[in-house]
Amino acid sequence: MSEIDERPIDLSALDPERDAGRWDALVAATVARADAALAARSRSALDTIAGWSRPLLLAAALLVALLVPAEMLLDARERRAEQVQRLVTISVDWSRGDAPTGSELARALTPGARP
Amino acid sequence: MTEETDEELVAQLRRGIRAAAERLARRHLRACRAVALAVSGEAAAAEDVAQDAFVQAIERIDDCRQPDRFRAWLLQIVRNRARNLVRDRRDARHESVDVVPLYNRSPLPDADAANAELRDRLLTALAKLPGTRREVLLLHDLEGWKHEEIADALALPVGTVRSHLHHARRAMRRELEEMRE
Repeated sequence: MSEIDERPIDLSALDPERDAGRWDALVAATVARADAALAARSRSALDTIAGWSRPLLLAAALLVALLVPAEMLLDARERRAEQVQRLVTISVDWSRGDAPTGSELARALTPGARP
Repeated sequence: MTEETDEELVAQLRRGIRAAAERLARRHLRACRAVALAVSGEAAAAEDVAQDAFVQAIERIDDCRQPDRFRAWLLQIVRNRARNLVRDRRDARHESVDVVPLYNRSPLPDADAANAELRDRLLTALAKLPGTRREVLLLHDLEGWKHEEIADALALPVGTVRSHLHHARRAMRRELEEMRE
């Protein structure tokens, strides 16, 4: 085989930086486009998070909307049950001869009053 | 201060650090342009392809499975885009009678007429070489890459790179000599 050709070909006429201004402009334009691509990429990541958070927030709001009236209903029932319980206790005590005081009677008849 | 590796810059890109894109562009855009030139044979188109391919790589940075081999991955994107360009131009040539050949088409503006002529001669001679030899020659003799770097980027044995370079240089000298006569 012939000797290896070690002499480089002079390709400097093809060097893009012979026109440095033109090459710098190309690099700057490429960097600007890459910047825009990166910005679009991070926007799309935020959109993905937003896409998940929106239905999640909606579900939470719906849950609150359902739970608050349910809680109020249960609370009202509980208070009524306590009132009935107090009246029963007073009635039983009264029937055994242990007459309630006026304030005990008033508390038993007042809805929501603490025993 | 030590220079960041491609792997580190890719990790920064993935975290949205924009300065990393600029560093990678300054480091690799010339090679992108050389590979695009090797495939397309057209200086102006090579710049467009290099830019488009680089931006595409940034957009698809999550697809880069081996960040330490970012350069080889980027150059493959360049190669694919340049091949698509050549194919599209060839298809267009079959449809239109006045499309000029891909090599030497729409030369870059060059104030130096002698340089423009030399550049055209080089491109014409390059066009006669097989694609891989064009790429090896441009990366070595224009971009100053080492044999090992070219072997890594092109996934070729170093010995094959040396052989391609030897044959490319011989063919180029012959072509350029014939043009002078």
